[in-house]
This record gives sequence, C-alpha cells and structure tokens, in this order.
Amino acid sequence: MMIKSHPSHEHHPAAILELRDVRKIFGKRSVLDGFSLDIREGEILGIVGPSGCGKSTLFKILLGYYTPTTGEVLYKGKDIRRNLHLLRRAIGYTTQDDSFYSKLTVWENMRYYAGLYSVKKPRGELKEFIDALLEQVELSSAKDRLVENISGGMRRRLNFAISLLHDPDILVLDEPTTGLDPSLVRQFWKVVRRVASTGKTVIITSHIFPEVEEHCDRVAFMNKGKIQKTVDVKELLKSKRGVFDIFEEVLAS
Amino acid sequence: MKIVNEVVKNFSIIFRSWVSLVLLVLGPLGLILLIGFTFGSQDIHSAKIGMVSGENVIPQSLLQNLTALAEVRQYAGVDECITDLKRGELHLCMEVSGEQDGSSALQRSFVKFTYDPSRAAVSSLLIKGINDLVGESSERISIESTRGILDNIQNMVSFLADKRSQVDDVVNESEQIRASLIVRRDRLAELDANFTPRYAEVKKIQQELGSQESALNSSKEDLDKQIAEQRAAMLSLRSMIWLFPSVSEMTGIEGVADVIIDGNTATITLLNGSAVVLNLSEQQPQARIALLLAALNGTLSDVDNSSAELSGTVDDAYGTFASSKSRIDAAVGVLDILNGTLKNEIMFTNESIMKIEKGVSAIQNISADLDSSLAQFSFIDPSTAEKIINPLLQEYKEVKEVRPIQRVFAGLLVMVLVFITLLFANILTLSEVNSAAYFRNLIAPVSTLLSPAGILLTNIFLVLFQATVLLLIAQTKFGIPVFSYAIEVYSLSLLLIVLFSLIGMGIAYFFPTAQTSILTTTFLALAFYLFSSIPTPLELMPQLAAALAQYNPVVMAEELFRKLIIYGVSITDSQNLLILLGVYIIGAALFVLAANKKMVDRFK
Repeated sequence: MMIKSHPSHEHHPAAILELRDVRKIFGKRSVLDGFSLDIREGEILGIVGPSGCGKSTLFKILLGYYTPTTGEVLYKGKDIRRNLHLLRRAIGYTTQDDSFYSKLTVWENMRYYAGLYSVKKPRGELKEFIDALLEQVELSSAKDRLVENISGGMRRRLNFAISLLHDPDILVLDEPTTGLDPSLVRQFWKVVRRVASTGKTVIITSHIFPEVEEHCDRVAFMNKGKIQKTVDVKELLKSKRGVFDIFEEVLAS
Repeated sequence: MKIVNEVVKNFSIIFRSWVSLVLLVLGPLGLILLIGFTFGSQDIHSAKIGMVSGENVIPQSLLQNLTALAEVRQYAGVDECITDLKRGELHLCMEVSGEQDGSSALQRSFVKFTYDPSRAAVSSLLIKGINDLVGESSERISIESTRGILDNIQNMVSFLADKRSQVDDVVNESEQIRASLIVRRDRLAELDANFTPRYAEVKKIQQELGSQESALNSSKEDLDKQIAEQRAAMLSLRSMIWLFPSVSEMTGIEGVADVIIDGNTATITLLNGSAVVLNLSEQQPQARIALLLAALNGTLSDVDNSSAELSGTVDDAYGTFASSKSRIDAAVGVLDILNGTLKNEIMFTNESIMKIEKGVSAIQNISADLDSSLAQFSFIDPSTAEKIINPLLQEYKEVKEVRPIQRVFAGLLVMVLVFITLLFANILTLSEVNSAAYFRNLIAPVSTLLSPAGILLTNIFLVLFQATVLLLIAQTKFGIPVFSYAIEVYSLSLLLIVLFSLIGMGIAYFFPTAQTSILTTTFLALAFYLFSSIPTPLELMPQLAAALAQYNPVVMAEELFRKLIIYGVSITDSQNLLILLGVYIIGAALFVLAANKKMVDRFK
C-alpha cells in the first residue's frame, strides 16, 4: 500500500530531495539496489528497516559523503554531485553517537561548529544566536561545562543543536533517541517538533516504532537495499494498522 | 596456566596484524640494523683539508700522504680557508710555514691547525691522521739526518763494543800471562828452594877451601923453606964432597956417570951406559972414600933432585889446588850471580804478577764502565729516529671559541624540534581523527583539507612556542646569540616544523590507531636521529651510510643551524639544502594528502 498523500501537504509540496534509481555497489556487493524516493519539503520522514538494510549508506548518500554508483540525487532539482557544497550547507546531521569534542565546553563546541559551517554573524549576534539555540534545546545551564561532564540527554541535544547551527533546510536524525530514558525522549522530540514547525524537513531513522507513528508524517520502509514502501502515517493509523505491521509485511516480502 | 593463556592471546593479537608485527618485531630489528649500518665504521672519509702554505714548504711526499687522507684544497690565504671552514666546506685549515736551519739541511715546519669545534670529533681524528701519516712524511728530512747521526753513534757503539771485545781478549791474555807467571814463579820458588841449601853448602865448602888454602899456603911456605934449607945443606955437603978426589982419579975409571953402593959393592955406571962393579973392600981407602963420596954425592943429588921434585910436586899440587879453588870461587861467583838472579827473578815475577793483577782489575773496572755505557747506548737504533724527532711544531686553534653547549646546540635544537613536532603533530592528528566529531567534520561544507591545515597550523604555533622557549634559554642561559639571527633561525625552524608536522600527521592518517601511530612516529624519530650526524659525524659512517644520511633532513637542518648559530653563515648560503627541504615538504604534503584521503575514505 503506497500512500502518496500527506495530510499537512495536500498539494504535495515539491520534493526538496529526489533520489532517482540510486544504486551503491561496494566491490561486488550491492548495498543499495536501485530505488527512487522523493523527500518533501517540511515533512518529517521516518525511515525504518532491519539492521543492514542499507539505511546508513542511504544517509551517507544524502549527506553527500557517498556518491551513488548509479542514479542521481537532486537537491532542489540540482544534482548534488555538482553541488555538494550546497547540499552540505542545507543538511544538518545528528548522529546516534556523540559527534563533537568532549574536551570542549558546550558553548565552545557550538562556536567551533558555527565557524566550520560559516555561520556569518557579527560577533555579538553570534553569541546571542548560539545562546538562543542552546536555550531552544534547553542547554543554557550547561553551556560552560565540558561536554565530557554532561549527561547523555544533554549530549543528544547538543548534537541536535550543532546540526541546527547553520540553519539547514533538512535535518537528518540517525536514531536520535536510542538509549535515552522516556523523559529525555519526550524532551528531545519536543525540540524536534519545535524545529520542524519552522518548516524544516526532518529525516529520521528509528527502531522505536511508536515514536515514528507519533512524530513522523511519512514512513519509508527499507529492506534489502531498497525502499520497499512509503506510507502516510495518518492514513496508516486511520486504517487501524501500525508501522510495525507494515514493517513485518516488508520483511515478509 | 592462565598466564600461558594470556601470553598465547597476546602473541595471537600481535601476529594477526602486520602493522603490529612490523612495529613490535621488525621495527626494533630495523633500528638495530640501522645502528649497525650507521656505526659500522670508524674510518674517516670525505674529509676536506684546506692547505695554506708557501712555495716548497710542503714536500711533495707530504702532499701525497695528505691527499690519501683527505681532499686537499690549496688556499692562497688563511682567511679564505677559514671562511670555507665556517661554511662547512672544510674540516680543517692547515697553515704551514717553514724555517730553514742555516747550519744544516734540517727544515723545521710550523703547522697551525684551525678546526671547527662544533665538529671536533672529525677534526681531532683528522689531525691525528695527519700526525700519523703526514707527519711521518714531513719529518723525513730531519729523520734522515737524525738517522745519520744515530748511525754514527751506532757505529761508535759498535766500535766500542768491538774494542770492548778486544779488551776482553787482552784481559784473557793477561790472565793467561799471569797464570804463566804464577807457574813460573812457583817453579822459580821451587828451584830456589832446591838451590839455596845447595848453594849454602857450596858457599860453606868455598869458605872451608879458603881456610884450607890459608893453611896450605902456610904449610907450603914452611915446606919450601925446609926443602930449600935441606937443599942448601946438601949443596954445601956436596961442595965439600967435591973437594975430595974423584972416583976416576981414585979408581982410574973414566966416564963415571953414577956410583951406587950396596953393601960392599959399588956399581959404577958409566956415561956410555955400561956399568963397573967394584968391591969396596978391595979398594983403596981413598978409592973407597972416593967411591963412597961419589955414591953419597949421587945420593945427595938424588935427594936434592927428590927435594926439588917434591918441591915441584908440592908446587904443582898447590897450583892445582889453587887453580881448583880459583875455579870453585869462579863457580861460586856464578852461583852467587845465579842466586841473586833467581831471587831477583822471583821478586820480579811476583811484581809482574801483581802488576798484571792490578792492570787486569783496572781493565775490568773500565770494561764494566764500558759495558754500562754500551748498555745505555744499546737502545740507539737509526730506525728510532722517527720517534725522537718531531720537526713539526704544531699549534691547534679553534676557528672560533665556543662553549660545549654551543657546539651541540644546533643538534639539540634540531632534535627537540623534530621529536616535538613529530609527536605533537601525530598526537594532535590522532586525537582529531579518533574524535567523535571527526565524521561530522567530514560532512561539513568545508574542504577535507581544512582539518589537516588546521592541525598543521596548530602544530606550527605550538612547536614554534616551544622553540622560542628553547631559544630564549639558549640566548639568556647559554649565551648563544640565536636571536642575532632570529629571522633565519625561525625560518629554518618553520621549514623543519612544517616538514616534520606533515610527516607526523601523515603517519597518524595512515595508522589511525593511537599506539601503532605513536610507536611508528617514535621509531621514525629515532631513525632520523640515529641516521644523522648528531650521534656520529657522517665522515665516520660507512661511505654508503654517509651518502644516504646526507639527505636526512635532520642532518641538513643541523648543518644549517650550526653554521648559522656558531659562525653566522646565512642559511641562504646553502640554497641547495633549502631547496631540498622544500622538496621534502612537498613530498610530505603529498603523503599527508594521500593518507588523509585514505583516512576520509575509511568511513566509506
């Protein structure tokens, strides 16, 4: 069952990212087996699939780290192979592990990545901007603490904050809540929802299907190197079925 | 057995990875081999000597020997030579001047060695080599003269030794003479012992004969007197007889020669030899008286004749006695002479023996003195002339007086820079590539070279700071004027820091595992050090090792720093080395690019 419509985008907003028959082959092993996917501007797209199904490779292609062996990826209609810099400026990436410097303070990490992502603001405004961002992810109280001394939840939020520093159009969240306690998960999603409400596209992978059903607009089911199915979450829920059901179907297929 | 289990596990892990195998097993072996390769020789090579000398001061043979030891460059003046010494193009300046001794053919040379104290190891070996090889040659003339003198001395000693041998012969001969004289003296003494009692006996006989002669003379005088008195009496008697008629007259017998009365018979012997016998009783008394008187006269004549004969016999006997005594006296006189002679001979022989003994003793004393003198001279051998002659007056002078710390400071600075730079760059890069942030940085909208460039710059600042501290210590504490050449010191330091930062970074990108990477870096730093001129001068390495080591950037940098800091020789003076360092930097940068790409691709 392919659900094409999106409740919040009745007119099917333009795809911000388009994957066209994307294949990725390492040696003789085909990791991505040729599929197409449109990622719409402003949606929260969940990507689920079993371990080893090719999610990480897909993400690295989306991040511009990998180049597809065949096929193409278009960012706002432009091939990312020739506009990689544009894509990287447009994407914020939150890994499932820490991806910052633990020997720097929260604020120092923010300032470093602001520089790396060329966040061009006057000196005073940059500070206000970072402070506001930290406020947004509720890390203001920890901004002067060394990262190695803050909690796991704070680290996830710092990761998220860093990925927001350059005001990306697309947020890629790789299992962002894995290992967090329920209150931290709620806190995290609260921030994500707030950011998403500003019109940013969010691509998220998760093995926690209830949060996918709760927060995603669409879910793409992946298996054996392909997007096997894409469903509209609300339509899915209306049909009295859940993400897990579709997941099992995909696996069974 | 748990410990065995642990060991087996550890070895399994070590031998599973070729990198750990190389680092833990082959790496140390490689370093050991490198040490053996580098320190495999102590023979000096590639040495260069600057020679400053007037014409004909240096003999050709000396020059040939020098050439065998080192490359010899002739200089017109000492200043040019010292300039090249400071520039590192020479190891030694030899300023040679000669002085001709007018009284002989000997020439004395003055050699002033000016050497680079910062390369004292090579300089000292070179000077030693010159003294061993060149000195021998340059001393030849004087040695030949000395050898001649020593030859003469040796000949004199040989002559004395020969004479000493002759003295021995004389002593032996004297000893033989002395022995002969002693034998002769003993024989004379024996003869004297036998002669003296007999001589005394003869003397006694002579004395007795003398006494007897006196008695005999007295007896003879009495006898002669008595005979004379007797003959005078008989003559008187016969004169009276002749007064009586003769026989012829009484008897008529003519030609009567002799009448002998025998009892009553008278035998008349005629002159013709016939005899007439007469009976006295028949004769006339006168005839009988004539016959008796004739017979008496005859008897008296016979007695007279007998007396005369007796007197003659006594005279003869006396004469014979006197003659014998005279002959005995003469013989005794000879014996006296003989006795005196014998005594004198014995005395003379004794004196001769004593004189010979005294003479031999004196000669033996002289011989002992001579032996002692010969023993003292016995060491003289013309071949030792080289040992006792040193016509080269040498003077050693450092081209510039520098303290020990100044000599080694260039090497110290280079090694500090190399070790710090390599390890800092390596660790900094490792901390980056192993940090949780690394992947995020890779997907950031920046070049993948931004991170290496940042590490490089960070390392440069970091090491330059360290270098500045070291340079400040050198300037203030050691009094080394490094800041007099601040621009060049920092420029060269920068080149070195960039080069070794890139190498350290490249290793970290190539071996991102911390222990592997740091171990590799440490081994490499050690290799750079061991294969450099800091522990041992290139000139003392085997030639192949030296040929390779001269391209070691540590060697190049040490040379540039040393010449700059000690002698103020600009680094631009060695443009080739700077260009080569630049090439190395480009090579290292390419290595970093390749290793970084490998690192970036690791996540793919």
